[in-house]
Amino acid sequence: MSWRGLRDKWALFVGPVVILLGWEILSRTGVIRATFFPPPTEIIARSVIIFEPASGLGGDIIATVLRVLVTIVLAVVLGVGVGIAITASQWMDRGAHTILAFLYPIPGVLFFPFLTFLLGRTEMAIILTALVTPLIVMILYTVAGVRSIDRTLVEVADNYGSRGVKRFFGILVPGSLPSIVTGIRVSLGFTLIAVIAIEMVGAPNGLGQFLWSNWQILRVTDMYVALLIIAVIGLISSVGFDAVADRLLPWRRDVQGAQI
Amino acid sequence: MQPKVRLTDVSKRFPGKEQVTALEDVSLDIAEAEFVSIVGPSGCGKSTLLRLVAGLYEPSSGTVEIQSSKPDRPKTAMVFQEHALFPWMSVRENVMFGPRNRNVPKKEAAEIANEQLARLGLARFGDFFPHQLSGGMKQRVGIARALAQDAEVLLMDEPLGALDAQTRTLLQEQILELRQQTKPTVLYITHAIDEAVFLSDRVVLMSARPGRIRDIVELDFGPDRTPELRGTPEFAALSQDIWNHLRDEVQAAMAVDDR
Repeated sequence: MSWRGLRDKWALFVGPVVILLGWEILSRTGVIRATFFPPPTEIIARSVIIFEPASGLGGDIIATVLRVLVTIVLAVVLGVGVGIAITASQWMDRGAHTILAFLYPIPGVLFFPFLTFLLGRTEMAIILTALVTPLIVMILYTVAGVRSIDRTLVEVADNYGSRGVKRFFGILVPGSLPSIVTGIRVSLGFTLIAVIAIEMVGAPNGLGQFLWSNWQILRVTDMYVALLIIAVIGLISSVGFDAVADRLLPWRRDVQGAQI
Repeated sequence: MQPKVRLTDVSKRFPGKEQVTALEDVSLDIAEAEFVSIVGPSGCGKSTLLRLVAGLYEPSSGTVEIQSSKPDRPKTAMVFQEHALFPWMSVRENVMFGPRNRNVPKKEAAEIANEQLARLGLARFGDFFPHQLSGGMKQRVGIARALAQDAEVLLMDEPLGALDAQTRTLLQEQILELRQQTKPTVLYITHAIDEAVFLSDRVVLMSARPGRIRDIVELDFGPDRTPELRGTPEFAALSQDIWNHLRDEVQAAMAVDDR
């Protein structure tokens, strides 16, 4: 970003800075209790525990990031596959929609107890629980993507003998890619939320577990450090994904006014 | 001799709240290397007819037969209105699409594509993406894609409908040239009477919905006609004649729309 770009975007930073500054002042002056709301500068200073092996925080970050990555990759691969398979027949489409509509509003974390009955408190149970919501999101966005493919293009595919695997990877996936990309963006957020929530209730490590256990013993500053790291991971993942998403859709890049 | 394409009593009804009969009892033979145009008011089932020949729709009754000259030669290749190129494929990949689906090796398919692109004056644009081309160029890619199929019958669904008048005139001449070079069997749909007269051996006039064949006009300009044909009195007289036939049907179609 150039200087000019920064100058145009200064408004983006005003909000967060004002809130943090207000928090800092209120906490320092004792208006709010520093025990529960330590000043932001103190939290940032305390962030060095990331690099202290004794805190275990470094390992927790790695554990959470790995879980998020595995979950999102599974959600995309399975979601796109299932989504496109569903659109292959009207019958499947209707049947699947009832199930998805039923599952979608259930908070994903609630599947954790159920999955532990089957799998024990294993990594597998954590990943599968985290997978529920992002998978449904990916299926729904893929189905919408396939539906959005221009009908004439489908006729071209039919008339020119496009079938099977070639049709899947040559027409259906690229045709629904704009919608799939949006789905991945939404799923990334859901995945992070789900992984943290599950770690809070049922994982031996990870940022959620770190946050929860420090809350229980009222090591409040450390809790806030974990919160800060989670926010930063969320930010990096969405900014990072936006940068990649552009490359996924080269044919849209210089179409004027195209929205991904 | 057996005709290349034979339609026998073809009807097509689309079910729905109000069942629509798009075509009724259409019978038509198209000979090998013949260029047949279909003109008619909008909504007369021209596009439906083409899709029936393409196998995209099944007829509700009647039969569509296409003679195969070689066992693995595709039966039809269609040029669509509004080009219908895949935006995520380069121009070359778009043209290679048919051959690749028939498992022609990549290199060979690319050669076929380059040849067809060169033929339509697009040799330099193989690596471009469709959105980087003008409307006329896109439609030429659409034509190259169909030619790369080397199908028994070339189907063209108002291929020049979306283009400006000058581009259209130019492309008409290019299609005429293709016709003279490769002698394909063509079923051509258009709403432009002069285009139909300029290109075809026969012009089929269709009635307003339900679409029936109202008249078939034979043109004896022969395949060796030149662009100068457009300036001749015969051309003007025939175009006028066809319009006289068609006027009632267009009015009837409009009356249906107004209702």
